[in-house]
Amino acid sequence: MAARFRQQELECMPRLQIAAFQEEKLKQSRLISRAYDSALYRSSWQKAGFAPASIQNRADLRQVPYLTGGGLRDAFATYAINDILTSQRVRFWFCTSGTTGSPKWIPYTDGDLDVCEQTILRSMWLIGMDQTRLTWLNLVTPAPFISDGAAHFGIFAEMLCGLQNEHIAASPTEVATSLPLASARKPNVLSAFPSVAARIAEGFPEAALVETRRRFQEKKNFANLAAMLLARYKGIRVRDIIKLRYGIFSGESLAPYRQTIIDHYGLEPYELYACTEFLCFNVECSYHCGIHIWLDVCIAEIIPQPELDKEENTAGYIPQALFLDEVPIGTMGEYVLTTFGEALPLVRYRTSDLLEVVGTERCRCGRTHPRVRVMRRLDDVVNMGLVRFSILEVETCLGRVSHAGKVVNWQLRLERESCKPKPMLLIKAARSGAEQALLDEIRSRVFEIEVLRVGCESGIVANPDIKLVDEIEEVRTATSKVRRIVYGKTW
Amino acid sequence: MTDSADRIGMKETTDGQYLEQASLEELVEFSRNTLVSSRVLQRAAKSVLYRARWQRAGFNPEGMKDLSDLRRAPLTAESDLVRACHPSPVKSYACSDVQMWFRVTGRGGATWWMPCGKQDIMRMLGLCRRMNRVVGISDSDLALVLSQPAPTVSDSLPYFLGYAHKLQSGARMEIVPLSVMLLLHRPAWAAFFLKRQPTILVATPTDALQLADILRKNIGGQSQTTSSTDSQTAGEATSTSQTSKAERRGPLERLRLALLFGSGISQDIQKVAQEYGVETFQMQGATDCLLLNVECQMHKGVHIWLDTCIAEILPVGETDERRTGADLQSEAVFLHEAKTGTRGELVVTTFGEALPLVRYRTGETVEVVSNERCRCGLSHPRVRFL
Repeated sequence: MAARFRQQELECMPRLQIAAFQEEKLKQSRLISRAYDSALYRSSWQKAGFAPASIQNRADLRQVPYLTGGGLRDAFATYAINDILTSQRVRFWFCTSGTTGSPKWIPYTDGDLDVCEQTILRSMWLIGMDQTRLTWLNLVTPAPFISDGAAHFGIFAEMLCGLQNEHIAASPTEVATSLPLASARKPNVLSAFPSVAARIAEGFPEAALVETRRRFQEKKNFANLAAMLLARYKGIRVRDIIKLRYGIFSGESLAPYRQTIIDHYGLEPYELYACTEFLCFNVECSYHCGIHIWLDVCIAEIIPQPELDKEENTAGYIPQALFLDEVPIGTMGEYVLTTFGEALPLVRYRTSDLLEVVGTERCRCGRTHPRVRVMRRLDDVVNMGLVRFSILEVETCLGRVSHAGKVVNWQLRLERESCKPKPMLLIKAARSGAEQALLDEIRSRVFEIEVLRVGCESGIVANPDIKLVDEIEEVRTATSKVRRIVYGKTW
Repeated sequence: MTDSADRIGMKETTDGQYLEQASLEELVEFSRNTLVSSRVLQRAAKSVLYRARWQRAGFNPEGMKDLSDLRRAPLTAESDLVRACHPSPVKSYACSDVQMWFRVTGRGGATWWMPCGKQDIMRMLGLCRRMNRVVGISDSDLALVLSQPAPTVSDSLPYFLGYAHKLQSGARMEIVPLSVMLLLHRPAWAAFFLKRQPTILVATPTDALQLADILRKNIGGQSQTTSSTDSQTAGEATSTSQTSKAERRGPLERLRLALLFGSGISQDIQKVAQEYGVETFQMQGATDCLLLNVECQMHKGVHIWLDTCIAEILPVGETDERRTGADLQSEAVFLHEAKTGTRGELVVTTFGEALPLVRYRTGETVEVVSNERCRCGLSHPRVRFL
């Protein structure tokens, strides 16, 4: 099938023009001078001692200090919000999950939403979803998480360009009640966290058995009997009931779930990368060779892993970033984002997402925007997709263990059981009671992290293994900082 | 009006502000024309919700010539909707292309699905703008909208409110959408609201009171729950709820008004008024019929927008509640013809695109306040929810 473009000129812009385009936008949007007026940047930029007027092209951006998630959070705690905003015409606020402490609240103006709508439509054209009326099943997390807003912005974007798709939305707690509608309306697009989709697929045969049994009891006819027997002896998968064609998956890496999802749903999965701080729909094309990062709406940099290591190794070292479209294929590092946003532009924002660059040349689909693979988080967030919590939360709940012993040291190893995240908690403890009593106490304390408990109960995350060990084989950063989260080989 | 608004057809659906200001006679004529010329009932007849029931009752919508013919149509009860959606809505449930599906939880806890077409969304956007005008929301307001998770209508309400402005004029109105269910687990979020200080609260009374509780427990607000008198009549509640404006007790210091939606909420409105010390406005029809009837700043009843529905009053006493629609259908009186003081169940026929609700029994008992022009200037009849 011939590639389809929503904004061909922008999507297929020759690679060498991208930098020029970004620089023009840098000037036109008055990004640096607007940002300089924000309390978020003012003092750190003053300390850095550069004049806004000196930033004329994207290479000059290297003079500008990085912004971190912590910096963003602190600014909201320190300054009046109006002093942080660069536009007072905010339309919506959304917030991050707040797993590393208090959440980050992110403002969006109508102009910011236009960028979001534009990239939503671009993604739909890219996948080929513009040619026929589609029925979507959107599994969204409730507001103020941005996926709730994104689903609505998509609907309005479709309406604005004359597409008339059908949408069934359901939050994770409402999936079960929405599935009967979904099975009746036969959606052909599923949008979800990969882990949630995998969990639904896993529980579907059992749910189908219960439902066919109920229907047979309600109405004893041959069709209902056949369905019940099929469910019992062969098992019914989602693909047997709903003929999905496309899957749009975001919020966590699709890679571990890709095959399971294909097997159970029989759809073509597409990975989407977006974040609350900048709602831009970066998505892989039908060649599935990495997620296209749209460089006409942002300036993307990457801090290569050796630089990150050096930063850890050397006190006060400021790592050097490279432009995403200029790095060699295979480069891994932290994604750094500069946006042209109206409400609150992000300037050299360190996302804490570890990316691998998989292509900077023109893709076979014709698009020139570089392609990446999203690997994992770099910060203290235990990211298991929908289930996210911070190291601090683990530290706090383990600190409360006191009856059967005390936790001396710990390490959380993240593995996968099939495609499902499997936390393994290694504990070095000073015991004052029976081993089992201590394990029980630790388990009950760990489940005080509500999102983990709910994640395990709902089957999104495999039950954590907790092991008492004599010694923990510590993994340390170059600066001798202990790594509490260790990603295992199966992750 | 922006180009984008024009492109998606907002012009014809929401530019008609004259309907907001129209006389009662003009509104009735508009309703009649819409019912007849837009063939609302003929479209509805395609739905399994009506087809068999109407055939059984011998009702043929093709004969519709006037409003009075509507009274031959069988009433639609919540149980009919629940039945039509069991175990799931079949293809012929909706009458036209659906853009969004909403789940409605009925009074008895059973659920049904409400399909929403493009024109239905456009109407909601127009009604959001009308609501803002009627209750006096200005461009500088910041609305905290408490919602229930998708697939409820309330989940979409903040976006309808936001896009109503974005697509039409770009007028300012800042919105924080928030699921109270999530806030219960993340009380630290409240710190943001305290800092940003919303001026408008849009919520069900239950959620509004829950928010107050969270703010009080986690932020140390000084507000105190004050229970309302259960025996108070709705009329008294409507008028007295506005008396406590001066006493600001809640931690949301800049909050100036609360828009409260949901069914059977009259008794709780007073509690919200007292909890937050703000002016309250009752909204009706948002979560089931996709209507946004709202009371104006005069606080003399909720205006029923006659350009979006045909309203009737089913004069039933408590003992009649179990009677079937067939017994009752001819007893309903049109709201625009009902005398002040008439009490009964509110029945609406909506002009919905994806699924018109025909003579839908809302389950809300109302008292007609007046069919005269309100002091706010609007002629849409007013009712008080009991």
